[in-house]
Amino acid sequence: MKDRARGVVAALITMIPLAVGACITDADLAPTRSACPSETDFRIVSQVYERRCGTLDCHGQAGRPFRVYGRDGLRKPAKGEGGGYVSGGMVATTDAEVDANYHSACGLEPERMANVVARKEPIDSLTLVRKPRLTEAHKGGMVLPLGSAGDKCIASWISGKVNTALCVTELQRP
Amino acid sequence: MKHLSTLFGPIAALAFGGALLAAALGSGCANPAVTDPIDALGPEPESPGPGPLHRRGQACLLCHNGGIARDFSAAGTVYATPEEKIPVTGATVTIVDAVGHKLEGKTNCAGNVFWDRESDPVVFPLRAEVLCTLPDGTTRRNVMGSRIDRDGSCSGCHVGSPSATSPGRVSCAPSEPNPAFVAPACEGG
Repeated sequence: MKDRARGVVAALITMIPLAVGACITDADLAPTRSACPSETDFRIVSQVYERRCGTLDCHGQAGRPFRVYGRDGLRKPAKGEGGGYVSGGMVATTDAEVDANYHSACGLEPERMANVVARKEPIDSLTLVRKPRLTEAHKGGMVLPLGSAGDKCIASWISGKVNTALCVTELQRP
Repeated sequence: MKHLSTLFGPIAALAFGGALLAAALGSGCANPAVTDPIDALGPEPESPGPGPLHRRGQACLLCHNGGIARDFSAAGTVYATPEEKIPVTGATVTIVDAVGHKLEGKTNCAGNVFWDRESDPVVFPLRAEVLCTLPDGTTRRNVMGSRIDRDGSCSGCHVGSPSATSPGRVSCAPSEPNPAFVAPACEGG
């Protein structure tokens, strides 16, 4: 009886991974994608984020959910280049850092960003928009007031067509 | 007996709650987000001891925030170069805040400079620059390339040698000039 009971238990234990495996499909293993505004148009927007948000005492910190890399802030370690770049140095923000900033902006609230891109939710449902406007509590204060050049720059990018002139206007502000 | 047992219930609850409250008060209700960075600074060195010459290169406002110590609006240390720990005396540090209020101060013997929040409050963001007299008698002006958005401690960002997370120490020259800076001898230092 004991041996029989052990056999039943062993069979059950063997079947568990088979049962679980039968519940997992290819769709579960595929990478999750979420709609996000244009990556091509993001470079100028990244500069606004770097200037206004990405200082080392704010979002230029590795532990931030919205983390911003940039020449004058946090540098992204460069793979295969030994040591990477130095903060506040002469090397401009790299493509890899702009790419990381893009994914940081889109990845902060990916489902909500997808809904905004699909026009299912308004732009100001995004934390990325509310906090710099200070319509949500933000330790950094009102960084990009509603209607300012920088605010409109970001809103235009999220809306689907970045207004480069407004982004440049924001960057020209001290 | 029944009425005694019903009485013990609330008394026991009060006693338990009181014990919890005492434990919480005894622990100081410390916030590790505040205390851990302060603890990481290490103990106060015997020399020079608490005062304007102490803890150079550390993030001053971790303590000087009106709680533990005198309240500063901004403070920091100026060194010879980003890599070296040689403090510079007499460097002029200028800070301009978001509403145009200008702070100016000279570093002391330890390279430290600071402003009291009561007499010199600031509105962020800030702009900062350092004007140094080099050992050869020439002057060099270093203007900070980015703003200071919320941390009045220079060493909150300017930590150690240059790296991915720090531009290096606040300094007078990018590399050791010729002749080189000499560490000042401070009284009490």
